[in-house]
Amino acid sequence: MINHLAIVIRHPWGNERAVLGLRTALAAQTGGFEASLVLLGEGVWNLTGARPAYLDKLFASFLENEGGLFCLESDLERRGLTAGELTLRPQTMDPDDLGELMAQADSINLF
Amino acid sequence: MATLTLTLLSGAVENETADFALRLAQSALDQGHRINLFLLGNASYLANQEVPFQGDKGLTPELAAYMDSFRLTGRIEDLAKAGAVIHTCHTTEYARGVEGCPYLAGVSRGNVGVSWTKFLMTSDLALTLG
Repeated sequence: MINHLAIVIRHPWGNERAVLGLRTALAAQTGGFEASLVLLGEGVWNLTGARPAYLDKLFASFLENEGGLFCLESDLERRGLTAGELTLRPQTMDPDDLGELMAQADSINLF
Repeated sequence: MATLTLTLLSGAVENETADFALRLAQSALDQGHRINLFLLGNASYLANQEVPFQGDKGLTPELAAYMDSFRLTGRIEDLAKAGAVIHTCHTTEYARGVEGCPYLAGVSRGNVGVSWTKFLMTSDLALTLG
C-alpha cells in the first residue's frame, strides 16, 4: 500500500516534465497521499523568478496544504543561487537528508 | 499477486522507455500481477489509433522497417486484452491537439486528479518511467 509519494522534478518549468511532476504532486496530495516534492538539479530553477500564473497557483495550493517542498543546498550553490533570490521557500537539505526522505517514501517518481 | 501502477512519460520513438514499460507490464501480467498503466505527457500519443498514410511513404524499406519497430499500438491493445487497465491524461492530449482522436481498444480517457490517484489507491507499487 502506498501512503507517501516522493515526486522528484529535475527540470525547470519550461520543460513539460516539471509541470507534470507538479501536477502529480498536487493530485497525490489532494487524493489523500502524503506528497514530498523535491526539486533536484536543474529543477531548482523553478524556485526563481516569475512563473506562469497556473504554476504559481499549483505551488501555492501544494504548500498551503502542508506539502513538503525540498531541494539540495548544494544544487542552489552550484547555480549561484542565494536564499534572497528564491521566489519560493523550500526546505534545503544535504544529500544524507535527501536519502532519508527517499527511504521514507513508498514510491519515488522521477520527472 | 500485487498491483503495479506504471506512469509512462515517454512516447514511442523518443527513447526506449515506452518499449521497456510495455515489456515490464507484460512480464508482470504474465507473472499474475495486476497492471495499471497511465499515459502522461508524450506517452498520451500512445493512446490513439493510428491513421495510416495512403500515399507514397518516401521511405526506403530499411528505414520503414526501422521506424515500424518503434510502433507500439498492437502491444498496447494486447496489454489491455490481457487485463491491464490503461488510462490516458486528457490534459496532455489537449495540449498536443489530439484529444478527441479515437482511442485504441482498451484505452480510456482519464486524468491525473482522478484516474491516476485511483490507480495509486489500489496499488502496492508505483513507478514513473520517462
